[in-house]
Amino acid sequence: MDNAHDANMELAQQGNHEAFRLLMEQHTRAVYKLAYRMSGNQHDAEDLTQETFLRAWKHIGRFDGRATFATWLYRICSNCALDHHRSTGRRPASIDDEAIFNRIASAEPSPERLAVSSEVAARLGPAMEELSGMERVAFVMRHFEGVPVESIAQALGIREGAAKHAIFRAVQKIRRAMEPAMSTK
Amino acid sequence: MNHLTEEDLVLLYYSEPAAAESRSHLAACSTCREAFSSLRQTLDICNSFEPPEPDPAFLASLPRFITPKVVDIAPRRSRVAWLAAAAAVILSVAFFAGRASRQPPVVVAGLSQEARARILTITLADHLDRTELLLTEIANSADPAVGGDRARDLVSEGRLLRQSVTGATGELLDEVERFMLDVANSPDNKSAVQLAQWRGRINQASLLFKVRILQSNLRQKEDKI
Repeated sequence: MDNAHDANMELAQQGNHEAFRLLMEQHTRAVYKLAYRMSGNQHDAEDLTQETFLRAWKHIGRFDGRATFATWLYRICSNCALDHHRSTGRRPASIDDEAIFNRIASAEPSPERLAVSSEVAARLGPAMEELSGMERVAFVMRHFEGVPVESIAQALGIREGAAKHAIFRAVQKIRRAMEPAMSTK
Repeated sequence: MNHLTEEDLVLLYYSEPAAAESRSHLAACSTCREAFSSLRQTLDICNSFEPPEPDPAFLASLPRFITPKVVDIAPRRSRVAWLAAAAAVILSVAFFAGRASRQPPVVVAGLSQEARARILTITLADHLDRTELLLTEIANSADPAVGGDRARDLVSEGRLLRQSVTGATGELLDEVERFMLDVANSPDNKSAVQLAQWRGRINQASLLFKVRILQSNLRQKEDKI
């Protein structure tokens, strides 16, 4: 991160609201995208983004710079998503199939995108819906964010074996839901 | 020849360190290569999903929503700041009490009972946060250098806090201190056996669980103060 970012971080830790607002501005898009993957819909993603920044402000004194601020926010967001799933007692909403389809359809054609049939895209949403909160959060962290299993376990406060297991279950469910479409591709 | 399990293939797909051996097996086994190719095809499809950009109206409203709340909520001071503040108060009170009188009863002047309770609660909860983090790392890590300076810091902080707490909380701090002392005094290059023994101790004494419960209780108490 640049010097301005570090300076804002220092000021924010001293209680400067404006510095925190600037940090928030810089990280909102990334946090929102993560929240969207964790929750699967716009409404919850917006709620999770707000909650992430409120918690970050509340605990900014504990940020010790061992990880980057982005990673720290990312951990807060993951925990917010898990808390949200626990408190609502429901599975995260499915990814909007239409949104996926539109994005694939509107993207520049590439060999990979052209290979994605509409049937496969339509199956991804329901497949993600089948995942429990823990499975979804762990899978999103591993698959989309590239976080190693060991770090996922640390971030979620679970054993490494449990984190692996959550990812395996997620992969199994996704494969089960998507393979019929893959075989007809 | 034992073929790779689905779990092995998933670890391999994500290039996890545990998959190193599987990679050499894959090079020599066409059955596993085929299974891996099928898995990769399915998981690669998931990459097609990019979350949408946030709604511009949301981006515009976020600072308006957050800022008033941020102004209302004072950020919690860091553990070091609280410890420094608490230590400064204790030292100055002890100094002035010593000068003014040789009578022992020292009441911390200028600091209410509530303020002292708040300092202690927050400092203790922050200490347990850091303890939980290190215990979790030790319970999951194969890193021979895990612990070290952080364990030493926790021992020093724990001893300072131990003077102000009694009962079950004090007993838990003693238990944590004994464990952290062993970690702090161990060599940087710990053996796998040593790490396994520590994991065993953490599990057997439900150390992580007890730390989490106490920390959670303190956080709830902290929110009410």
